[in-house]
Amino acid sequence: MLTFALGKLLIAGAIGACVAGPDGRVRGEAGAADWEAAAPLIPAAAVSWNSLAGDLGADGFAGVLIEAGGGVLLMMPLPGGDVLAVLLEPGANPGRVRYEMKKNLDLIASVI
Amino acid sequence: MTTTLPEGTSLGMMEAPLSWVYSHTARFLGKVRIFVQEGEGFMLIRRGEALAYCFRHGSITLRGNAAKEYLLSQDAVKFSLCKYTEEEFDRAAAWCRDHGVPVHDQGRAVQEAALPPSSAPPATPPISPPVSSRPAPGPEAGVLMVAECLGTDLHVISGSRPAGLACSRVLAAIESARTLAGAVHAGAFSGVILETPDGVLIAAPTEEGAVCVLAEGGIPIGRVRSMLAAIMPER
Repeated sequence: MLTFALGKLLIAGAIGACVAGPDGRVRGEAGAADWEAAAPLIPAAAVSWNSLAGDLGADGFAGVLIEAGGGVLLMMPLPGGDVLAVLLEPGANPGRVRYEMKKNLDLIASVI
Repeated sequence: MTTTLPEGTSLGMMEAPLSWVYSHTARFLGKVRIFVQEGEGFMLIRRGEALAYCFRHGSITLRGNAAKEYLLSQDAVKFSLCKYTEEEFDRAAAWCRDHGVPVHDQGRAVQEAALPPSSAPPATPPISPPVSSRPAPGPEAGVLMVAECLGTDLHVISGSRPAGLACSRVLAAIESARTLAGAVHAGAFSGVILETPDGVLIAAPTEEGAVCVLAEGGIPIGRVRSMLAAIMPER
């Protein structure tokens, strides 16, 4: 069911979606992206982003967009230390995908 | 509160794609009990129109469109058509409303029972107005701070610095993002945009450290990305 929920994010140029656990393991994925190398790095990255968000007066980060020449990576925190990540191809529409991520965040959290 | 969904009169069990149900229930009033693997759910149908969906698997419950989309994603489902009287249908609709299952019975004005507000998505995507109809914002509209990290020293170029902001955190966030971009083979790293409930921090690496822009929350993501692109040539 998690794969189904993540599949809803594969729109507007999104090529892969995953949920990475706080232990750095892939808890579920959909699409064609390879998350095996990235998932173990996500918990530490989330810690650094939460620290920076704390510097800005927030309890934690609400989202991260990583811009790169070969695509865009969108990430959002989930309850329990999980992180939702979506990889977009170049020229994709991050705004549309980000909206779908927010819209489906509760659904994804409920099926983990 | 209605405690149980009416059983109705079962017309038998069969297996077919969910689309079969839509095309064979033009005069049907009742519930379709649906079974997928270990999960079970139902649809309420009033003469060809599916008014409510719910599906449960273990502790997970999908309601409304989420349940509909999940059931439609299955090649075939096992189901049982259970015929209702009007009174039973009304009790079933009441059960749905009591249990947070959206009911879209426009013909009888029973439309209500949205998901709890905390989980309800906005009705429409936030759409930015066309660029041509939007007054051109000033270069600093919504921007709270522009700063540069030279090593661990934060030099504020304009605006005011949040009290707790440290360059070490900005550089660590950039490095984390750069490492992740490499791990998913996303190509050359350009920068990172960090969103909090109240604002957006845009940060891009430079030879000496990083340049960052703090902006108000609620700015369209396209404009934020433009800000990131705008600060990159300064590297």
